[in-house]
Amino acid sequence: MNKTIIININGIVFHIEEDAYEILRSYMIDVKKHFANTEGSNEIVGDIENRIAEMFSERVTAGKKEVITMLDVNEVCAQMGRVSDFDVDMDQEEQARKESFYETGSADTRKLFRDPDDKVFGGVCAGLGHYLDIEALWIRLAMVLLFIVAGTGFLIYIILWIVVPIAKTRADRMAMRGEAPNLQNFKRNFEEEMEGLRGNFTMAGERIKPGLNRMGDGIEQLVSFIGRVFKGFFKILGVFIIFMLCVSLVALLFCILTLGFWGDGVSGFGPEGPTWFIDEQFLTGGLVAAFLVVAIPLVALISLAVRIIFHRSFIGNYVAFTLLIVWLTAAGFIGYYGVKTAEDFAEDATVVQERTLSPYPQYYLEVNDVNMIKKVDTMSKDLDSISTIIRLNKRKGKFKNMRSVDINIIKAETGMQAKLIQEYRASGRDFDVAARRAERMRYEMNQHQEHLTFDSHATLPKGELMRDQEVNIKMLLPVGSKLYISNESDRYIRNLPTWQCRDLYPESERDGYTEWIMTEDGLKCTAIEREELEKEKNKDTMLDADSVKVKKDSD
Amino acid sequence: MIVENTQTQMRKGILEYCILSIISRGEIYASDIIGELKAARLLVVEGTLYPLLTRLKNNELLSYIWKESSSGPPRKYYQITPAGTDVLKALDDTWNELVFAVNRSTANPQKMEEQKDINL
Repeated sequence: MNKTIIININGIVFHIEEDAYEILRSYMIDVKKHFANTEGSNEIVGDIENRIAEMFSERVTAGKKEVITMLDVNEVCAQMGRVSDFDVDMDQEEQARKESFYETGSADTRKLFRDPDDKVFGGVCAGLGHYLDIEALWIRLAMVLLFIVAGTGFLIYIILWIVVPIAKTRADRMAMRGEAPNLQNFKRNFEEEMEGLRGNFTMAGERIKPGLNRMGDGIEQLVSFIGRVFKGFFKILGVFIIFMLCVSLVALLFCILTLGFWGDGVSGFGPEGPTWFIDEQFLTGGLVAAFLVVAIPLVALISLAVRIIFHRSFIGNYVAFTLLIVWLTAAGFIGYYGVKTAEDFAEDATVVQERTLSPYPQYYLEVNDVNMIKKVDTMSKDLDSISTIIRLNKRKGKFKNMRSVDINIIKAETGMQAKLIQEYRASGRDFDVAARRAERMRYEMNQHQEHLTFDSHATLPKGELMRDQEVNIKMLLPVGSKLYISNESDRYIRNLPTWQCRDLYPESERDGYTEWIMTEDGLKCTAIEREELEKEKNKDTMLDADSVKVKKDSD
Repeated sequence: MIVENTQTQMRKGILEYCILSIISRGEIYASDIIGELKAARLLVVEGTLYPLLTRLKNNELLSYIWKESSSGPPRKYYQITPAGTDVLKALDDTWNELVFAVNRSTANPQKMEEQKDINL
């Protein structure tokens, strides 16, 4: 199998094999160079091209084939004659001048390429060797020495690797070695290459460097060993990166599956966010889309890494294109659902519920922590493990808890009874939806005589989405009534210096209730009041002493 | 080197003369000229012909016309100009003189053999 190139000679199109094309090209370069100083050179070259085209089309017609092969080119060129045979009609002087022109020209036209035939990493050293006409070994040695000097060699190497092009075609390789790109050299080069292919590849290096002595060989082996070690190191690093990427891909898959199949249940405690925001009917689709959105770039990264390290791509263009389309679709889906979800937060609604408390001169405030698992409460037999309790609570919607409740204790207006105002707030895409959502929240506050027990959190019914739901409670107490606040309740009360009050109690009583009394200025901690009173008293006595002193002075 | 140089000089003059003679018989395509020359065992490669033809044309001894070809690009058909005919006549005379001179000079049979080799 051979790559073919389409060429156009004087308006006629030919398919020609790549190798054959290179020979033809170099032949034509030779011809052009040869006639460069001759009068009417364009015409001569045109005539020759024309004739070549004609011979090609004859061959294509006669051979009933479509492609010009190496054989065709060689025969046509032979019929045309080698450039050296053209010189029949040339003056000796002219010829000599031309030859000298050739030689100087070819010697100076060395080009810097990376040598793909004699490389350790990227063929940079071999290429430099050709360019400077030094054995690549010495360049490699210099590079390794420079590497020891703060890694300069490494940096230089990397830069050259990036900047210098690789000698892809035979013409490039010949330019690299400073050989004039003419037919003879091409042939020789080609034959050499075939020979190299036939022989052992490892022998190629020795063929190129016949003059190396044994010590040189040793160094070369050492260099190539170091090279292999570095290559191996890079490969290992690359494989490690690929491995990590694969692991993250698997982890991601696991994560998504977890969210999808076990819902919000794996960790059990505390709010496990994202799935509560997502409508159940979109959940699976959303998870798949989310997976794809993250996974596809990961796959692309893996593919890139494999490509860099192993020079092999396992994703074809069509697959890559399909993946891109899939990614865009998934990203679009996520975007659409994201916008839709955001819209569901557009309006707020608050539902207010008022209830009058049975009148008592004092109340005890206690909290029912809905997050706390109380085995005593569950009388059923099968509730013997925590996970069972969690599952059961979840089914009841109990664990879908929101922000903890906010309690404010304020003064009731004169003549009014103790009262409780519960405010349920939620968001929705319009007021109606928000209000209904607020109504669906579950929250309990119970009164058993003097004891008031409130839930620490509101809970959502099964299937309800998380939409900024919150509960605020206002407790209105008439002036003079007393309130005992339990230790657990402290943190739900925002407008009182609960901690400060508790600190004034002796250590043994700190876990109990703190006593508060409703005054005209709001609820006051009796302990704080008492302390302030004492301070005031002290101040007064001090003041008295001062005044006595002042009196004395004025006498 | 001197031998080669002499050979080249000899061929060079004869080649132009032969080409002019071939073209003088009627308009002809370059590769047919090659055929004629090959038959006469004078030339091996086509590449030599084109610069010669171009030079003769530039000296207005030849002219050419384009003709469509069934296989491939249009072809240049060469024909001789009146000036070319005059030159050819002069060359004919020169050639006859040369033949006389050479025959006369190379009356030695051994030398005759060598001359034959060179012409090959």
